[in-house]
Amino acid sequence: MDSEINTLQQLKHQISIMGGYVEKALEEATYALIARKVEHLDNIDKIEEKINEIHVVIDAACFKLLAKLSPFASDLRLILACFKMNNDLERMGDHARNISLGTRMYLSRKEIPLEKDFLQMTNEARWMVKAALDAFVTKDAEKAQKVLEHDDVVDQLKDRLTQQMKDLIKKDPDFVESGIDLILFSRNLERIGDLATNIAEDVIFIASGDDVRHGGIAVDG
Amino acid sequence: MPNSQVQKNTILEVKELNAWFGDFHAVKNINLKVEQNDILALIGPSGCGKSTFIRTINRLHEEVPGARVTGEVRLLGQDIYKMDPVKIRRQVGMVFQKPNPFPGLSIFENVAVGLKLSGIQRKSILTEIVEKSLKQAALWNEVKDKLNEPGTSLSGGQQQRLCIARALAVTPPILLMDEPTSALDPISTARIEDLLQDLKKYVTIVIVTHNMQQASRVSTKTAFFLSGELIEFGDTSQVFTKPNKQKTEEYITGRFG
Repeated sequence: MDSEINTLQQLKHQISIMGGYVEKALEEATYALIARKVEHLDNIDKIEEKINEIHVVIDAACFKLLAKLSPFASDLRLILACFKMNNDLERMGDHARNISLGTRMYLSRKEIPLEKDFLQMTNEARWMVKAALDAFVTKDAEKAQKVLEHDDVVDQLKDRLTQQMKDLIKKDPDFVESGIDLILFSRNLERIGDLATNIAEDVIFIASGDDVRHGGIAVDG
Repeated sequence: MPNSQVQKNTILEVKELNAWFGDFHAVKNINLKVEQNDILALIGPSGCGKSTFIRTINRLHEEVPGARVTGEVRLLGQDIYKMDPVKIRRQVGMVFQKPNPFPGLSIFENVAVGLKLSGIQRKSILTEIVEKSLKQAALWNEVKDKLNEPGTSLSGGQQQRLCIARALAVTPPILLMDEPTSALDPISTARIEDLLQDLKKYVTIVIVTHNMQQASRVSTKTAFFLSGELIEFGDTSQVFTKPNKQKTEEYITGRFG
């Protein structure tokens, strides 16, 4: 597949395909969890394999394009950003798989009625991934900025949910295992939100050349 | 202390510079400053005015019939258009695309010729300056045992370094280079590029190049010319990673030119 990526347009296209797989893995994992439909987990291992395969291909393509094109300005920024986004997307795939693996266990334990906060957190994390990828495809720095603003929402939801689960476990020890599962799910969703934030920062870097990470610390040279 | 806080001297200051070939307006209202120890790369598509611009800095442009210049070119604060052009050309070294050692002159004489024209005749002084210049041009070790052989007997890359040594011999404040490596192989090119990093300690350099990688590798400042206008002028790292002007972006990413 590497030989197919000879242009920056093809590189962008491969990132979009990889992003599509990540979105699918996250959708299947969270739907299986919320709707308690374990059959939706069956595809995730295959999707994960695809993600890993493209991960290696994109790394090699970035290496090759840097060597062949000696790019400058927006071309250089695009390749560097794709190189980083590639890793972030692969990590997102791992987190979706973690949710998938945990869901199989979770669905066999004592059921906890899923709180509104958990459903909202799932939606927020999925929206962040989708919006970051849309912003990448359309090189839309404003949309990417909106993703950054959502990160705090997901973090707050995770903290609230963790507290709710701790309270529940203290009140009824029968919920220890499923409560811990939900804490772990929320941690995975929070990490997915963080990684979507990284992608949004990369989109802003591609579009404007501005490095907005960590509040845009100025770097000499 | 960070570099930005170091006070540097302005070596070259160009103000509202225009140049014509007859009716053709080749260089349009250029303003820029080059500081001590800078290497300024001039980039832009063929016919954009960068070579004409560089030739206004040592008053070679006006040698073309019908050519004229307006504006100011200040070298170490002095307006060169109010000075003797011959004196200026002796002060401002220039290296061209094709190495051009003087035929019939030895390696030694090629380097010494400018010194002799400026009145230095004593052999011991000439010997000392020739050796120093050849060392600065990173050629000494290759030629020290054959200084009396013709300059034209050297390889292309060596001839170009000989021309650099010749230019350096008169200790110019600024060295102009018009595509100095475009006729050289990659190894000779790399040697000249390495040499520029050493030379900038002694001399400010203005280099015209069509090779974007070379401009980004060797220069500290970059000026992008298009249709005779200076589109963008700034730190090389900024121009090649985050240009301010759309035209610069399009040119350096190969969208045109």
